[in-house]
Amino acid sequence: MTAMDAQHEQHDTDRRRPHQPLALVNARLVDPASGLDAFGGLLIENGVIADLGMHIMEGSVEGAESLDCGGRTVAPGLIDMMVFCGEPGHEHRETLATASRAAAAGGVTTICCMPNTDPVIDDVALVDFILRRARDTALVHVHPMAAMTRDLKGEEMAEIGLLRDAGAVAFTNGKTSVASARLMRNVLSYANDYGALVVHHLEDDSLTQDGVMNEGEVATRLGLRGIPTAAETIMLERDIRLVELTGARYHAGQISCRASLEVIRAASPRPPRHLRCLRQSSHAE
Amino acid sequence: MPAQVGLIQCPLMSIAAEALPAPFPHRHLLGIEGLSSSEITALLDLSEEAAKRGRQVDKKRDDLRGRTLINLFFEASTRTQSSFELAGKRLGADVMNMSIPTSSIKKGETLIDTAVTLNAMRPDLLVVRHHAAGAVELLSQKVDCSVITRATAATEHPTQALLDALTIRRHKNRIEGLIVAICGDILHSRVARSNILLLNALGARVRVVAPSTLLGAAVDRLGVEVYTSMHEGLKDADIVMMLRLQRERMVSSLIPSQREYFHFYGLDYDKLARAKPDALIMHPGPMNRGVEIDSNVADDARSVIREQVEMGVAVRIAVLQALARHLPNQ
Repeated sequence: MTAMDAQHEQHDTDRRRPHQPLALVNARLVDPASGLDAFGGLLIENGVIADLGMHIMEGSVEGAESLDCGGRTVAPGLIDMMVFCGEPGHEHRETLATASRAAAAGGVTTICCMPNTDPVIDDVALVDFILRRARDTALVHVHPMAAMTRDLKGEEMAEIGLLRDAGAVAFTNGKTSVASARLMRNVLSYANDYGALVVHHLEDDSLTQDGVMNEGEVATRLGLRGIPTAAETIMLERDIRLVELTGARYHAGQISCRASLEVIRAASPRPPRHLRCLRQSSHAE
Repeated sequence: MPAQVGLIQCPLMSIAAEALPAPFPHRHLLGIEGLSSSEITALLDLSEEAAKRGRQVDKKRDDLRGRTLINLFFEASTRTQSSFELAGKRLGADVMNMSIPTSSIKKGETLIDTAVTLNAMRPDLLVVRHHAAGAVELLSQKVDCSVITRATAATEHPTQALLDALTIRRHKNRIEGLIVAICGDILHSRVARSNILLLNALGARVRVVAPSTLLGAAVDRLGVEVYTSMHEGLKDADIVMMLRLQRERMVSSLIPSQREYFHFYGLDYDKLARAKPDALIMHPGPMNRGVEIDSNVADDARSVIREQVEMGVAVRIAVLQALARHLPNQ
């Protein structure tokens, strides 16, 4: 449990005066940007961080309310780039309200939700719906990603310009890859005109088929259908070539094998401007 | 196509009443490429005469009396065909329209055999529209008459570029130094390519404005400034030339939808406000109102779209006159 949870627990009974400073004391302060990792306290005045360090402790700041973090971590809010939320369409599973509470409980203050909902977020009205639902029900910042192809079918480009203007922060095809290299090229090229980020799932469907785990000895022993790493690397190699061709901003949605890292390293001497990747531990070898 | 330059096989004649301000040494007109700026200017001057005559009661001349003009199309087209037909008739030629639909080609005749067959009918002028790049050039090498490209898909449409230049010149009295923004489906447009060549030859500053998927590869190498935003591309433009969105030629998803296209690339008053206050609005037609151009903008006082059609006939008359000088006279 992080200090933020403690703060949230107190949230309901928060009766402090609006501008009374708050000191978070006895905390582990972590700030990746400055490389900070130390024990101490942090002072919040008028909603912004006013001071931090060892000297901030219980009673050290006059007029401030202090909150003992009990050694828990205080860090900048985390951002989850890939949240599969059930709203709209699967509210029995999860809503923006419950997803955002789960996020807050884990120190995540911003979530980017994926468009593979029902209906798919491929229309301006749905981006607007997510933003309004988030405003009314969510605890954390919610940024919708929109579908890069209509209905995520991988056949026609979605309205990337209008969706971006409506507030979509990135474009993705959900849990599926766009099989057509021609369409992928068009999407990257078109998205680049709007400076839009494309986040792509990497999986060559014709190789994955009904596979459920890494192809290899274990899969054979268990009698389960395997997925070769090439299913991921082929798609990644292809996308890197297309990113080089179009100059688009691109994010490899998830990387689950060593071979993919080698592909990205090999691309580094001729780096596409905005190539990034996210390692997904659940798929790791 | 420098190969077409200087293919004069017959003695020059003087059937035209007035002399061309500068000699026009070409037997065919296959594109703007290969024409010098003085040759283009000479054609425009000749077109100006034709435009004046076009507004008289008696529009007829006999430059092409006894000559046969075949309007040959491998691909359906109505506007340019009617324009050429009218031009030929106003010069006194016998005009025939001939359609070679794809079914005939499926019967097995090659393009060269088609050319030989046509040549046997002894036409003097052949106006051809063919979808394949290079087809009209090949045809021109196999026949004895003068050949004019009506439009070759994705390469050239020379008479459109000439009529656009004529329209601009009539309103602005010059071409040199003008900022011309050609906007829309550059990728599928033969009009764009011919216009880029011609306007560059006459010293205009040419911009192309389109989404990247409709620009074509390395279009910046054609001597144009490239923009993907209408608001930037139209800034201070003297001429705003819109192109039709050729959805029928799109083999894959190049733009998401017509409404998104209109929102970002359709010419409306908001985008037009970026251009100079007296900017001309042009469109080669047929236009799709609400797709690449707002209906009110199309009918605005600055729109010269209808005049372009009128100048089309004048330019085609001038081209036929210029080429007729190289026809054999015996």
